[in-house]
Amino acid sequence: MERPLQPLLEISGLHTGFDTYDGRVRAVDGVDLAVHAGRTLCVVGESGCGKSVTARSILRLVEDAGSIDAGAITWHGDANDGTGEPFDILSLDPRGKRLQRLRGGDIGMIFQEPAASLLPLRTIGAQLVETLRIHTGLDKKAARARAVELLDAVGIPDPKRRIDAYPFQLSGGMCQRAMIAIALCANPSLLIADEPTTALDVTTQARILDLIRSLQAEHHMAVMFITHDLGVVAELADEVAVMYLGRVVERAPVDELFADPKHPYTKALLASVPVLGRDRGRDLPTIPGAVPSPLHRPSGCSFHPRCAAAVAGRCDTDAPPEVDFGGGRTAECVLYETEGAST
Amino acid sequence: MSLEEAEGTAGMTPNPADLRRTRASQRTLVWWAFKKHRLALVSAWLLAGMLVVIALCEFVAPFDDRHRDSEYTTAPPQVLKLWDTDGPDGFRFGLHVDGYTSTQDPRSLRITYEPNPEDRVDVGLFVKGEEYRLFGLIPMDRHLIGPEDPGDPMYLFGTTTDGQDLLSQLVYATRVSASVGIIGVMLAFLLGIVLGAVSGYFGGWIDNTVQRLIELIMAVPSIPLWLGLAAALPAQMGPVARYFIITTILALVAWTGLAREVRGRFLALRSEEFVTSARLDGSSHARIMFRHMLPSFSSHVIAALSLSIPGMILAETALSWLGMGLRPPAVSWGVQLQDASKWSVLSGAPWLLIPGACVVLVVLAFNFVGDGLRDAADPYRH
Amino acid sequence: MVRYLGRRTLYMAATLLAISLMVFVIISLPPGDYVTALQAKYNVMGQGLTAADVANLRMRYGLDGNLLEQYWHWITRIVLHGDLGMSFEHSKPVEEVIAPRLGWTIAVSLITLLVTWALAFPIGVYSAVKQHSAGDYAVTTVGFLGLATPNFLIALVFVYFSVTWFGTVPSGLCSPEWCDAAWNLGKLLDLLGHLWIPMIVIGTGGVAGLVRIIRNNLLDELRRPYVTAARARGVPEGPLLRRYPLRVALNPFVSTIGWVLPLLLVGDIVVGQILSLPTLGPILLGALKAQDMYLAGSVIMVLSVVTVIGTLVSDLLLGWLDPRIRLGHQR
Repeated sequence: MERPLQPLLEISGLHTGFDTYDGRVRAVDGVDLAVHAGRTLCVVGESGCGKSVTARSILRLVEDAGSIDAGAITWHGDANDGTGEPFDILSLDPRGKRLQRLRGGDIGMIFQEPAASLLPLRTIGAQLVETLRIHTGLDKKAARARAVELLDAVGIPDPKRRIDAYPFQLSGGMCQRAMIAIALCANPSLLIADEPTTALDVTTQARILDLIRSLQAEHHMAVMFITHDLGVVAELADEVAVMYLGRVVERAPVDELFADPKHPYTKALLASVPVLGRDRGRDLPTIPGAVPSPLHRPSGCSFHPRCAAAVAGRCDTDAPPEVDFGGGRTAECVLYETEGAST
Repeated sequence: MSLEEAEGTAGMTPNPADLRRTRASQRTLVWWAFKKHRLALVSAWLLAGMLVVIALCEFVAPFDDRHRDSEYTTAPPQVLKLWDTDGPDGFRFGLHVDGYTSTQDPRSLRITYEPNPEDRVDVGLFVKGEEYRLFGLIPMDRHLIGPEDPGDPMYLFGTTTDGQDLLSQLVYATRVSASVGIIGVMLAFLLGIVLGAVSGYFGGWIDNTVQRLIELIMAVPSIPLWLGLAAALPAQMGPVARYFIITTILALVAWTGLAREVRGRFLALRSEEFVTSARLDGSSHARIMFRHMLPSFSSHVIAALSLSIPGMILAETALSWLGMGLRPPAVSWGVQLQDASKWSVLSGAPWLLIPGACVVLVVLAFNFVGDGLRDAADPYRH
Repeated sequence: MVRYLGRRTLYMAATLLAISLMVFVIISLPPGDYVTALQAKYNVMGQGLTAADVANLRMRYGLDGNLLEQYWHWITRIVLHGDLGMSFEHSKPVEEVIAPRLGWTIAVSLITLLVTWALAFPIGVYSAVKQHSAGDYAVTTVGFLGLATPNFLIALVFVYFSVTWFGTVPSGLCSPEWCDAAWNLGKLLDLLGHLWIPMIVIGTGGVAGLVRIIRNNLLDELRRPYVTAARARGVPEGPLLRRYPLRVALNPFVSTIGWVLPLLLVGDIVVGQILSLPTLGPILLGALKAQDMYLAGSVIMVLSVVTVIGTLVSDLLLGWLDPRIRLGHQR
């Protein structure tokens, strides 16, 4: 598939922070990402690395104590289909129509806890019909008919009856299907999935991933998939971004990442994943230490205290350079300084 | 194969702040969080001051609680002055108050008092006054503040309709009212913690029975119940007996909320690993409940206690004010406020409401301390 | 729903039984009983009762026999004959003392409850939605003060200002010229003109408590994932607030009927002491002071029964509002 020149969504220099009792936490500290139409970008990292906050920043859903401090999130969707100019989502009026249309219209989003993401006091049908009517202008009856079709399309059995079910009457997997139906009801060109399978059991997880993949093919939709599960990455991704302490430390097409990881953090991550057969009877390698609190970010490269290849006097003082290997591959590490300079 | 599992724990040097945090005990952490709650900290100091006043009540009060000066009834508060310029010998330094001049209304025969700058009453610190026993043991006759001549009128908060010093009465009333609150909550807490612990720890039918009992008691409106029980007390009962019975009645009605709080905590902790391991170690149920589980949420318990005291104080005040609680000669805030009930009296003597301000202040302080503690014990709720 | 209804009703019956037991205990607690009190009264007046009279009276009130028999006699007379006993102080049947005042008590309480809600709901919502604003701080401060001030103190402060400013204290629920008039607009306006005083005194604590409850609940709800999720699908802020967190925050509001009612009734006792209202409060206080236990116990029981019915109503409303309760789903 030929990639369009402009990405669908471009995040550059994003900084998002939270005020806490102990000071300001820089949860996202200068993230650059691009999502291309029809492709899948997986953002992977440990809990607390800022991947969810990045996803929420796109639709400006950061909670009260937090705020976006700097950066630009450019939406090229209008320019790509010739209906308008690219614009910065962060400069939209927070209560304006365009942002409202972007949320749920251009970009659909699903979340980690499907059952908690639906209001328990209203039926899933009511919540689906509400979203449909906001974005499509269908009348009540038509919207309900469309809602039944959508529930059917996401694989909810007996949708005519289930449309009147309350979220607490459905399983987690069914709730996530309903959430997907709501997210896709206006044919968005991008789906942001924020760890949508973490709270589900393994078999349900696999089915939901299948569903997302088939819907993506059907609607020719881009997907930004946030996860901490490398298995999911291998299965779903076209491109991968690895995040550590609020920064993207490595970017690569999925095959290259698994075949030839560059950043020491990525290498350590891949080494800690058990491989059937290979790892029988030996201890899995672990990454020494724990993720430092973002409040007390180590100086220099924030991974250096845990890094096996850290260069003393260099990694603990200077911020690492971002090395561009070409073909969408980058890594933030001094080890490749010379290589990067040559490309 | 999630990344969470990939995290090792082996050595690296965490920075000093993290280290301080991980090594600090639970109690220290709560204290740090509490200190950030400015209002709660101020309130805690206020309550500490109140406790000192309660302990040293006889010393702090200028007069005895039975002191009565029939010459000055319903006299207004005096202003404590440090120097005086219009005295006979010009400027004079020294703590003093103005005495009173009285005028009688020829028609209503009511006597009203006005401060008289001509009549200077010298006031001293640590002056000799009525004799008392500190803590009921040490005989003393010094008072923190009082008139140099024990016969002189010094009524900083004015006097009551009976000619009693409002300030002294207030000091004694604080001891009674605050201690009813604190002792009452302690009694309620004993009942609540035992039943709550048993209910939450064992669960099953025991829990069901206790819960139904609590719901039944909660369904009965509490103040009418208090009133009914208090009314049933014989009228000739002595003040000390009455004090303890009223406190017990308040506690009997108020334990349910605490029991629920404790039960909820026990229920949540029941399946924790440290409880299971204590059980496998062969600890007795009582030991697990009160040595292992209870200390793990003691800050919550203290917060809940602090938040229940205001209700108790307010109930005692209302009960006594209605004439159903403590009765003179016992003094409590509610008993004091009875004096202000007649509007003909109150309109000329607004200072009779001072004990009311005291109630509000102390109740607010307990609420703030409780809120501060709860937030400190539960940082994630915030 | 039927199961839920059945359970609640059964539960109410048990509560009523418990209340009747407690009230009976209160009635029986003071030394002596109605007949011995009556004997003493007649002795003071110099006309002793004959032994036959005493025996008759004891028969009628079921005062012989053990406590259980006495309770049985008392409760069956109430259930079967509506006979609550005799008021010693008023020298007439308790029901005749209570009946004319019950209507006013319920009316004042209900009106106060409605006003309390009408005030507390918007204030609480505002305070939660605009958390940390100057308005929120003002509301929270006033709320704290309102909860810390006993309502009789509010009444006293009110009386003080009323006397210093207007030279008098308004009393009762109607002005003399309207009291015996038939119901018309003038009487209604007059009533409302008097009602606001007890309402302020009775309602302050209730408003402060409710504002606090709705504020805390709404703040909790506003942080829930479903709010973010609804925002993420483009629901505009206004409908978002109305259709999502407010619906959930309404639940505890409804379930407060149970505790607001007794609070209001207690306020009535206090206000009655100062402003002399034609309600049950002053009667209860008088009865308690005179140890007129049949009357006191009966008033307490009536108040409790009203509360229990209030709780049942709020349970039913809750079941209607919340499908989780209606469909018997445990959270």
